[in-house]
Order: sequence, then structure tokens, then C-alpha cells
Amino acid sequence: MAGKRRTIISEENLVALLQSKDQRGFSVLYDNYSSALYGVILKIVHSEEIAADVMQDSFVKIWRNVENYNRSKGTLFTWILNIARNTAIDKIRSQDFQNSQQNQDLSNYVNTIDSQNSTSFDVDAIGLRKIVEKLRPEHQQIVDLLYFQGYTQAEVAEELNIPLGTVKTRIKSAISHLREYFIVIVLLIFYEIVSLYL
Amino acid sequence: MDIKAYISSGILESYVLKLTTVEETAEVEKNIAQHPEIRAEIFLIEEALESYALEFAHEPPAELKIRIMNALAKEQLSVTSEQKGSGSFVTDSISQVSDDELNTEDKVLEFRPQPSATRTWVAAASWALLILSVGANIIFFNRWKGSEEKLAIAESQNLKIVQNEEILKANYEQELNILQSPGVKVIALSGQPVAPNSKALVYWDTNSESVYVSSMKLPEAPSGKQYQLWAIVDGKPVDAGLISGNTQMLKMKSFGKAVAFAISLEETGGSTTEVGPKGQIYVMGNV
Repeated sequence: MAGKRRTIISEENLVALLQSKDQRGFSVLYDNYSSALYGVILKIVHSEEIAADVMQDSFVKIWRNVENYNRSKGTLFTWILNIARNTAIDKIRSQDFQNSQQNQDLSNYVNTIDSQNSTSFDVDAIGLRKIVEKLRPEHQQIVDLLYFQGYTQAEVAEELNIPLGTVKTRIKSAISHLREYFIVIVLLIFYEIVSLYL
Repeated sequence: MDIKAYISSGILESYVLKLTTVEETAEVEKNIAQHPEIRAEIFLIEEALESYALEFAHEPPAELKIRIMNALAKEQLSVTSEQKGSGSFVTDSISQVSDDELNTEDKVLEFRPQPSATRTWVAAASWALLILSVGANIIFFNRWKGSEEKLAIAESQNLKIVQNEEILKANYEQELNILQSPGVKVIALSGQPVAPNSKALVYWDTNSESVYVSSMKLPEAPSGKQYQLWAIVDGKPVDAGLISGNTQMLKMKSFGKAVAFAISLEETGGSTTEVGPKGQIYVMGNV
């Protein structure tokens, strides 16, 4: 990379580049978010080949719809994550995907693939994985159903056997746990680093 | 509107997860625009889900970027040709993005994602830790350097002590050997009027006819002067040797017989038996 001039641009400028359909903006977007998007897509479609197609479709959708993105409504990352997620969920619900995956029980499949694909948040190195596993909330299930399997609230109500009216509050408590869970991870990492110096 | 109740209703989480109906979405967006607290809450929810999504991050195949950038270039091309209102492709205005173009651009744009609350907090904590760590390193480095210096001093002092001790030990062993051998006479030389407090001991081994001077308490010899031991034989002083340094015990010249010993302060190099002591006698004692 020697000799290249690097220009740091803000999220605001990146959005401006994207909205003016500047290739450089999409290149930067790809470099920064491709592994996050690809990971989520892969978790939904469970095939590298299909994931690559879904990635391409997602970027085309981002390209086509970026004018509609409004920073005041949320972060760019969440916006593109939702596009990638929806594209992937549409894919697994499409007829040709269904045909190719016949007789596969999706939710069982999800659990087996998860253990192979979910290691990139690598806390192993500092020996925290076990603690984190214990803390991982059972609330994860509801988030996974919504986030990776594209369940509607009605489907969640049916799957978890709860009244439709309580789904929202369940989602709320699940995400609150998720928030706490990440704060705990941050604290644990912090604690590990501090303890190195004591 | 009760904002707390609204936040705790769970509708914001559903909104971020795109689970809300069109009407609900419009309502949430209206509320976001009106209430900064709701907007802040939305960002926290987004951040939690973003962190969750990052747990599954997976590097895509390397060639995928080229494929996607080419797809976007085609997209741009079709938009351009639509705008021109002609069916023909304007191929020279927008070319396909090649591998080279993507990788050897002179100017590389880099994007720093907007710092979120947690990221800011982690960043701040990291900086604090870095500063603490650098501070601790400086303190420990200085302590270590100080310790190294002290250790070096202590080591050299220790070496000197050991050397001195060995010399002392050798001297005492020698002195003890002499004192324990039969036929050794100990002659105490006492201070003369010049220096009444001076004294010295002479060990005279009559068997081996060896003479030693020891335990000297004499004023320090001024520069250019030196003490000299004399034996009184047949009523005359005989040169018994020069006393050099501060050594505990010196072996001097031997005699068949002597009736007394004395120490005088002479010019450096001493006097001779023929001339006799020229300086003053400091200590003297009879056998």
C-alpha cells in the first residue's frame, strides 16, 4: 500500500459519495462492511455460493435505494444490514431456494451451521469464551428468529407460543439483554487487560 | 406523550428490526424527529444489533469485490443510457471496473465509521489504559534502571569487602601462625616524647630469626618521609627495613641478636646502618 494517499472520510461524506453514485464510495463501503454483511447473509443462507449472489444483489439494492437513506432515521450500518438481511431472507423464501432445500428443517440446520460460522467475535484469545457462553442470553432465540430467519411477529408468537400482544415486550427485553451482554463483554475485556497490569 | 412508556413499549426495537406496520413506522419516524430521547434510544438498539451482527462477521471471497463493483458499474451504465434516452450503450463514458483500477488507485479513500456510544466508551477506555500502561512502564523502567545502578554499586562494594576480608584474614592467619610458633618474642614498642601515644609490636622469631612489625599506631608519615625499623645490636642501631604502606604486618630483616627495637621517621628511602637513624625516634622497646 506504500505510496498511496489515504483520505479518511466521515460517514456523512461517505453517504454523500454513495448518494452521488460514486464508485469510490461503494468501494469504501465494501471494504468496511463486506465481512459484516457477508457473515449475516451466510448465517441466513448457509451457502457461500448463494451468499455471494445475495451480496451482489444487496449492493445493487443499496446502489438503487441509497437516495432514500436518511441519517436522521438511523445509522448507515443498520440500514445496509437490513438490506442484506432482507435480501437474504427473501432468497431463502424464494421458490427455487425452497426446492433446493427440500426436506431440510431450517431451524435445526441453523443450529448446526452456527457453531461453524459464529467464531469471528474472537474472545478465545483472552480466555473469555466460556464466561461469555454462560452469559449468552436465552433471549438470543427470539432475536435469531427475527433477525436471521425473518420471522414476523405473528410467526414469533406462534413459534414461542406467546400471545401476539406480548411479542413486542419480549423483543424489547431480548434486545436489552443483548445490550447488557455486550457491555459485560466490554467490561470483561477491560478487566482482563487491567489484570495484566496488576 | 409519555416518552418513557413509549420507549418501554418495545415498539422501537420492532421498528429497528423492520417489524412494524406502515402506520407504526410512520408514527415512530414522526416521534424520532420530535424527541431526541427516542432517537438516542433507536441508536442504542441499532448499536446492540450491529454488535450482534458483527459477531458473525465472515470475510467474503476476495474476487467478490470485483464482481460487485462490475455489477454496480453496469447499473450506472444502464442509468446513464436511460437518461440519454437512447438505446445504445455509451461504453466510453463508463468503463467496467477492472482489478487494476480497484487496487492501484492513487487515492485510497478510507472510511471511519461514526463512533457509537459503546465504541466511544471502549476507545476512551483503551486510551486511558494505554496512558496508564505507558505511565506504569516509565515508572517501572526508572525503578529498574535505579535498581540496576544500585545493584552495580552494591556488587562493587561487596567485591571490595570480600577482597579486604581476604587480606585481613591472610594477615591474621599469618600473625596467628607467628604468635603460635615456639620461640617467638613479642616486643612492645612504646611512644617516645615526639609522639607519646604511638606504639607498635615486633615479633621476633628467635628460631628462624625472622622479625615482623605489627599493630603499628604511628602518626601518618608526611609526604617524602617514611618510617624505618631499627634493631639495637651491640649498642648500635642496625637497619631492619623500611615500613611501607598501612599493612598490618611486615616481615623485616633478620638478626642473630638484638636488645631493643625502634622506629624512626626518615626521608623516603631510609637511612643506612653506617649512618644510623637521622630522623626522630617515634617508638622504642627492649627485648
